[in-house]
Amino acid sequence: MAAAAWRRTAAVWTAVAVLAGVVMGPTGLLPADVVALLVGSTAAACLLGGLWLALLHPTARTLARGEEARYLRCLAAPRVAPALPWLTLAAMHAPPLALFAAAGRWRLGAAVWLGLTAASFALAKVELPRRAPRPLAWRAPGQALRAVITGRLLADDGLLRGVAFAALAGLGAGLMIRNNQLLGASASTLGLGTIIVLGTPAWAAVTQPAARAHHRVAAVCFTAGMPAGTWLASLALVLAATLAVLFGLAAALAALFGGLPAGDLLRLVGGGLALGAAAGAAEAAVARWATRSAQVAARILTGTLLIAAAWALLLGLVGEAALLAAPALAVAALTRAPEPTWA
Amino acid sequence: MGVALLKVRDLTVRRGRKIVLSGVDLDVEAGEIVALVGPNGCGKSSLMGSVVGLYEPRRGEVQIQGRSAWGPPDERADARRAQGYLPGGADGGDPMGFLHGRELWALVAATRGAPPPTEELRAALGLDELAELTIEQMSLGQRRRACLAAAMLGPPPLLVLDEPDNGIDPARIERLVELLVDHRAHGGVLLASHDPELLRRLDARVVALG
Repeated sequence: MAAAAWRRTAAVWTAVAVLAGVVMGPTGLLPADVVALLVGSTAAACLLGGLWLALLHPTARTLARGEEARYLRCLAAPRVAPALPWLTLAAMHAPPLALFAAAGRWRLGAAVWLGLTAASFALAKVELPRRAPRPLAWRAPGQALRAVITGRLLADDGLLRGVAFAALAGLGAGLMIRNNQLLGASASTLGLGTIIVLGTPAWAAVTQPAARAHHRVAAVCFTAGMPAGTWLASLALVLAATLAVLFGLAAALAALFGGLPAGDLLRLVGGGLALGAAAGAAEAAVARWATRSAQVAARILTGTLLIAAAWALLLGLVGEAALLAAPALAVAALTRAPEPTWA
Repeated sequence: MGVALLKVRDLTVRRGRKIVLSGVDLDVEAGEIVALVGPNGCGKSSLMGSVVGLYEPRRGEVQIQGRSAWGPPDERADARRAQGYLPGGADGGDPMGFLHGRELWALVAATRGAPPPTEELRAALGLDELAELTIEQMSLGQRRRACLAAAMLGPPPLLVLDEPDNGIDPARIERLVELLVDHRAHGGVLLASHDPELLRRLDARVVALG
């Protein structure tokens, strides 16, 4: 149980560390500046604290409910110490303590650390009431498959992690825009490029469950007579819509945090929606490539990094014209995506 | 004589590096139940997999109602919509374990252009208790019933059922036999089974492999 939790936490820590490095390096931010921001602004503290809790919530839920350790608890000599989930969760919330310690605020850091651990544990214990099932009236194969993938995405923790990482990417992009005092096309290009790179964990987190669900129903779809084009297009549409929303959210936060006027906000959000949709379509091609291997997660991360690099390069080379080139590249990638095979 | 419901000619199938079927011919006519029998590993499931579109033949032809199951995309989709498939083995249905029963039926119905499960099918296979369970929450027998219902939605002219009695309790087996015998009025059945008593009750034409 703890090993699985640590694997997930390591991914979150790594992503946050990379994000912090990219944001804090070029902007000259120090831990003391971040702590001062958190202490001075309740809104910033709530936002960043909430995002941190959201990022670790899936892991906290696994630990608090302990379903994976049910068998061990049944044994005559229990091997799972009751405090183990607590201690593991506390260790996973250590990075904020490290941040405060680096700023010389040990006591405050310890209080924040304990508070985050307790809040995380309490949230993990909350069971949301199950919604009454709605009658299913899917008329077309594409509609049915899109509904199945979307349902899986909504039920999975990846979407929560995706939203949290996208929000962090948006805040990072806003900081870059604000520090460079940019407006107009320059703000849009830098903002979108930063969002694409910083948001890589978000795009990968969302693609994972969608790709797996899509692959797992492939056999039933194909044997029931679903055309290959419908099968692939369904995944592309779901990912394009989801990533468009996440890019749009990140772009809106970047514009607000970067202090952009309304016109530039709309420009950045519009660009975010377009680029997100193109990234989603390209992610569908990545998903097809990834699910042909046992290394699904590694392949999705690699493919997502390549897309982010390609999109960022396009933005750097041709500016906002990349908003036209990116969809063309995504469609080209989709047309080359392989069909599933069964050994 | 009309077009055979299922026509398999000179079928050769390879799984991995092993040739599991070589030069197999098989026909299923409308109104007929054909049972594949043979020892484990003789190629029953591979033959069925090739019929329903899972394992591409290395050589040979598979036609369902005159349409090639491995032909051009449109013809291929038409051929597959004309059959319903129950995967075999204890893990049949496992990959899609996150789907609820009603989601599985709705997905297959929408793909095949079929109506939802009829009252008769729901009663015969006890589907109401399975609708809100995910496949992975179901017992083996429940899982087989849920997948059998998906295969029979429509119903399609050809049913391809890999060990349909596996894991199903005796009372439900009675209903299953009735369903399959009744299905002969709509088309035909290709099934694999190790139970001679079931094949006798179905009055199936037995084809031995291996």
